[in-house]
Amino acid sequence: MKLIARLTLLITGIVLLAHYLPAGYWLVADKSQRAPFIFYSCVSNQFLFNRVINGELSHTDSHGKVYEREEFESLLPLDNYLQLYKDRRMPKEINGVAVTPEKLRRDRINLRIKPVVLDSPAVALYPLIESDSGRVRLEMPGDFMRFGRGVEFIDVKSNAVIAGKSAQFTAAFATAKFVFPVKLVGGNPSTLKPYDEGYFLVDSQNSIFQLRLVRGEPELKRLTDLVAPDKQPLWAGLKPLYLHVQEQDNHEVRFIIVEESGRTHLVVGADYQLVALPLEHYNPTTTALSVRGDMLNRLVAINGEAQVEAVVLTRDYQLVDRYAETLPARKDRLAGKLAGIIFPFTLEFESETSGYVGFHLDFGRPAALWLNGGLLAALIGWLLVRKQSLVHRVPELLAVAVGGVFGFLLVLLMPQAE
Amino acid sequence: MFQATLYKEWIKLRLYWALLFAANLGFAAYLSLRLRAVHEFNTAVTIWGAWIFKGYLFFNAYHYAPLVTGLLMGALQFLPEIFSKRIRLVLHLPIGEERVVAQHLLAGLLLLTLILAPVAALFAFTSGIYFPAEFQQNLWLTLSPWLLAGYAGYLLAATLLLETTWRYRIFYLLLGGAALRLFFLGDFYDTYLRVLSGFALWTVILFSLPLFSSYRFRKGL
Repeated sequence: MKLIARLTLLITGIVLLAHYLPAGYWLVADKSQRAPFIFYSCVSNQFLFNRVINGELSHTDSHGKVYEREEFESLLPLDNYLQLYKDRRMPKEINGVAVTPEKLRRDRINLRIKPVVLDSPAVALYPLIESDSGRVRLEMPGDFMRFGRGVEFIDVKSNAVIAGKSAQFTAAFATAKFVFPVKLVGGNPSTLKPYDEGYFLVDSQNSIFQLRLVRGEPELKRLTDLVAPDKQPLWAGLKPLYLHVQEQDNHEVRFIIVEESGRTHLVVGADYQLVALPLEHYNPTTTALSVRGDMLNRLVAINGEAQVEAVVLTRDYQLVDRYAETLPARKDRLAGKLAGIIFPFTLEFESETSGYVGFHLDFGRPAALWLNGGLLAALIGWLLVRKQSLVHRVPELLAVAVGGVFGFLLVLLMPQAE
Repeated sequence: MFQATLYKEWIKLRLYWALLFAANLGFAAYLSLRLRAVHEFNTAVTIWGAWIFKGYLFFNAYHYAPLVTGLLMGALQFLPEIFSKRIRLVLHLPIGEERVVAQHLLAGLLLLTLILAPVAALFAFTSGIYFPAEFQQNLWLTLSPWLLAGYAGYLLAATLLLETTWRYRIFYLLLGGAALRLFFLGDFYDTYLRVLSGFALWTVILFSLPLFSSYRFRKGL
């Protein structure tokens, strides 16, 4: 029991120190580093950036030229049209296309996928919104949908399954040759959106379906049946990891498919055109993706801890230009290198890229092993000077060998058995 | 022999136990009635939406209660023993100090369980009326770290009180505080799914620490 208690104390102590000491260190040593915010100018046809340098916001281009705010806004008329209209500086046409405020507003799109949504707890109950109710606003239904071997609707008031509607939908799924179980569900269960796409579902055969509720009736369509025959092999080869639905005013981007490999496709237009995004550095589990569009271009940008990348596409999704920049990762900066030597490992319980509490272990630099060895030698020397038995101190010696600075502190602080 | 220890501890603690039991169950009953009232004043869709999309479980106000109960239980059980130095008598009983302390701890853990289990059952019952089966998993996964914190708090309180030197009491205080904070890192449902077994295992091995303290106590370290 003595041994178990000592091991409990050592393991607990090392785990806690590996969490709190580095956290305290970074509280003092960390410096703010914000990734540049990327724009694409339809006037000068180049990438422009909002960068925070030493706490000051500056407007630059990729050559490092700094712009005044007014000049910067004029180069990005489609992003700053409200200000430009107010200042009466807004051009009447851009690149030969006539500009009106209404058109500007309608053609703006903005979709975002943060890595945390791919790894967060979620209840598998879905409200299926009536997508053609005849009302101006969308309304939350009074029941939630659940998938099992079929479809079930649960009435929220009585907390009971609605037999009739469940049977009606299960039959519709059978007719559409949907093979249960459902592998993946993508939807936007909100009424604060311009219209409703319903849900995109992946069945056990990897086919993607769209489910909507239209005037009280289920509408289930297999997307491969709707696309052009020559595109069907493309659809059949998809391995979706996440389906992102975010309805926009112009109905253009129906949804986004993120594949297990990180390859990402926009599904565009009434005929579900598959547009592969030409990104090179996107990792859906660690980087955020944004798709911003205006009446002339589509700007797809990713934002990670150590990497930003952007591609500009035309309205027809042809590549115009691309930009990539590597940012110094925290552990490659001076403070990070020092931390990597002092701390043999760091343990985090929370992560920006996950909604779950987890054990996120991050190892230090190889030089940390030398520090561990030095501390171990110091402890052995001290025990020998005090003429103590090394055999009885094996757990403590192991703690210092593995836990380095954490183990050493612990041996100094914790209660002893002798 | 365990029955004898349990009976002794029950005589010592029954009044405090009854108060803690009433306080916990009263709090749980209040939260259950509040859920009923919330249901009365809002549409069911709003309440389901708050649960599913915002992670609101309606019992979150209870989260520190098991910890406070565990700490109080440990203090009420071991403080009198320490202040009046009766613990020395216990440790000299002819059944071995490890065994007798273990029996005291088991008695305390049992009494703690008799407070926490009815509360959990009441939460499960009330939510079963208003929510489907999916809610039960969310409820148990969210409740578990709070309950574990109660048990861990009890064992750490016992460890701290049985320890004789102030220096190490402070060590246990810091260790306990740092560790118990990790049981409350967020109250969105299911967040502890991946670490729950690790946290549960840690709580189990904590049982060895009060025994270690009593060993040091007897050895006069």
